[in-house]
This record gives sequence, structure tokens and C-alpha cells, in this order.
Amino acid sequence: MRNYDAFEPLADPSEVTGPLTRWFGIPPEAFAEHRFWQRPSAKPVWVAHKDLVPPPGLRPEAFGILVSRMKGRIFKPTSVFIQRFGGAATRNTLRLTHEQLDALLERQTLALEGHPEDGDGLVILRDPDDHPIGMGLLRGGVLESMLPKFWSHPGGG
Amino acid sequence: MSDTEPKPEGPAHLARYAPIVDDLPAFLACAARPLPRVVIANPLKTDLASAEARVRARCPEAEPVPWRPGAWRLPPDARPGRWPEFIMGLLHAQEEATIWPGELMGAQPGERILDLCAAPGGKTALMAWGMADQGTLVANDREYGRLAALRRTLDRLGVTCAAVTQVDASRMPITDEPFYDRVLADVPCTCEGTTRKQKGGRKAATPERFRDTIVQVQKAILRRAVSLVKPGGTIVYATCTYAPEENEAVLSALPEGLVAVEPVQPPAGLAVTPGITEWAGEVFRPDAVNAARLWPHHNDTGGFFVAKLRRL
Repeated sequence: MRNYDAFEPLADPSEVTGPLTRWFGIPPEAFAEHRFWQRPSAKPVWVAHKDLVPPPGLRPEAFGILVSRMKGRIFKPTSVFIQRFGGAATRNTLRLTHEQLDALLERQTLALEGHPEDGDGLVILRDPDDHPIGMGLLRGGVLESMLPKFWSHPGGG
Repeated sequence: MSDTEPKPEGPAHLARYAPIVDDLPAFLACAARPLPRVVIANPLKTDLASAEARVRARCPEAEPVPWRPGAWRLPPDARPGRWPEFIMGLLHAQEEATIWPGELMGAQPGERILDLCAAPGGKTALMAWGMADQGTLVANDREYGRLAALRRTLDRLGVTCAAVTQVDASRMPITDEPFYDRVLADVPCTCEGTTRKQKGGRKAATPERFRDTIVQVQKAILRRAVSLVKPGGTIVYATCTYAPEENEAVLSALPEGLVAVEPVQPPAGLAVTPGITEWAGEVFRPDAVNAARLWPHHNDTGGFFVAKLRRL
């Protein structure tokens, strides 16, 4: 077993909920049943159901799902977090067509005509049925995929 | 076997199960056929009707699994792992024979549940669904390399009630007061029930020496599972092999008076056979009959063994 620090509850959850509310309109109440966790010596932030307690005698490798690899000024939520909680977003989201989604999964960039509320920056990508799939980065009308690279050639087929 | 007698079609090493299988030629022939792919809806992210519409749109040949709502059989050459629905975690690919054993755990919201040998996480997910993603689910695996697959499964399905750990299951730390309501011991085995898998299945015969080794591991893990669960709590013991040495014999190696093997009722439409009481001259504990075997030719699945135990 690797010698990790123990996970501890995040002292100030608004470090996470603040950016999510400001940029995407996800209200803090979306996490009423959840708690945020962090290893004191590491930057990644995790979200777990409020009843998930650290198991006795064990140092977990993962605790719930990863929210972001870093909190603070540069706050990019992970795609898996957005898939689970991004449905509550009200701003800076983009609904993609099947063709656009396939292109992004193939790591192509997309030129967009309209753009979300706040112009350049991170956007939540939704599939044609409005289901959140992950993150994209919009710069000067060009949308870039921030979906995990391994999704382009997923295994487990 | 005389020269005039035809040799059985299929994996010949499985002919050792002739004494306990109802139809040996049908069993061996089926064990050689490719397995249908099965996808199952993730209730944490989608509802049954939307999942069904998405499966039908991707694969018109999909057929509902008759005994389990929210699961569909696809042709063996289907590649659901490449569908966006899989990437988004709305669907999961799951071997049909493992669904009922995972659900036999009877996981409930708010409980503390341990999956001792969790990777790649299919049964862990079934338990997270039973818990409605509420409570403490510890998903453990000894092999660091397999943890990545486990974490990807839980991430993709959006499970927030699970912590992932990496220790040898037979040495999982024990506390003075048992911590868990339920423990799954889905132990490493000779994988003889996986001959139909196209990727990762075991098609060749197992050296008996390997079986002797793995049986010791299985006994140690089951013994530890019992120590970890609260009195009255549930332990599910599971393997993907037919071998009585790895199944009923492992149950019978538990000290007397520690657990009861409880009767189980498979869902309507899923055929199983009861545990056996004797094999190669060895007599097993009487309640081993309450265990269940899944044979490939009965449900067109892989092979599996499962027993539900209650700690006394």
C-alpha cells in the first residue's frame, strides 16, 4: 500500500462551490447530500456522499469522485464530476449535435457561431439529449475538447 | 473413452464436470460459443425508458434480458464500450451471469459495505445502485494495476459513496467491533466459467497445482470476510468457476457454527442449480445445497457460483 495522507473534509467548501456557482450557476444546494474532501498535502479535491466515512485502518486511493485537480484560481472541474453534477448548471453550457460530439471525441476543434454567456472560458458540454458529458474550452469562437484523451479510443468495448 | 465414441465438442477440460452437469454435450458446446454482450442501465444517471431508447437507437438487434429489467443482450460483435452512452456512464457493460450474484448482496442505502476483490468494478456498481449511492462502500483490490479499471468504472458511473483501497483481501485490517453490514468475497479463481469471453476469458485448462494454490487464497479471503462483517450481517461468496474444490469445499472449510448458508431465490427466468453435497469422495456441509451454480447452456451466459452467508 502506498503511504498516502488520510483524506480530510475540506475546511471551506465555498472554495469549490464558489467557482461552480459563479461560472456555471450550479447552486451550493446541489451538494446538500455531499461533502468535499482533500488530502492535506495534495491539491486535488474530491466529492463524496455525506455518509461515506474513511474505512478503519485503510488509506484510500480514491474517495468519491474527483472534482478538480486543483482548487482556487485555476479551477477546472473533471469530466466525471460534470457528468454527475453538471446537470444543475444554468450558464456557460453548450448543447452539441451528434456530429459535433463525435468530432470533439476525435480531438478536433470546432468553430462556433454563437457562444455562451461569458464568452471565452470553460464550458460544460451536453449531448443532443442535454446530458452533461464533460468540459470544453472556448477561445475566440473555437471550441476545444477537454474530455479525457482515452475516451477517443475507449477500451472495455 | 473408446475409439468409437465421439469426442465432446468444446473445451475438453470442462468434461470433469460430467458428474454434476445435466447435459454435458450441451454444456461443452455452449462453453465454446462467444458470449452475448450485455449492457445495463445506470440508475444513478438515467431512467429505464431513456436507457432503452438509447440502446435501441444504437443497436436495433438488442433484446431485453428476460429476468432483469434495465439490461439488454447485444450480439457478440457489438462494441458498446465505444458508444457515447457508455462514455457518459448512462450504460455499463456487464457479464449477465454476474448481475444476480451482485444483487444478491441486498445492498441498502446508508449501509457500510466492503467489496474485497472489486476490480474491475461491475459488482461494486451493482451494490452502489442498491445503496442508491448513499453510505460507505469500500472497493478494494490487491493489484495496483487493476485499480485503474476499478476507478474508471466508478468514475464513469458517477458513484460518490465509494472509497477505493489497495490491500491484500486476506489481510484486510480487522477492528474490535466489525465495521461492515455486508461483505462481498468475489475471489480470484481458475475462471473456468469465462471460456466464452472474447477478451480476457480463460480458455485453456488450469494446472491442478494452480487450483490447489488458489483454493488456499480463497479460504483465507472468505475467513477474513466473515471476521469483517457484523454478527447477523451478509457475506456473499462468488467465483466464476464450476469447480466444487473452489466453491462448496471452500464454504465447508469455515469453522462450524460461524455462518449459515442461506437459501436464495433466483429471479423468474434465471435458471440455476443447487450446490452439491459431495465431490470426489469429499462430503460438504449440508447447507452448501443453498448455494447456486449458473451454467452457460441454461441461460446463455458465462458460468458462475454464488453463496449467500449470514454470520451467526
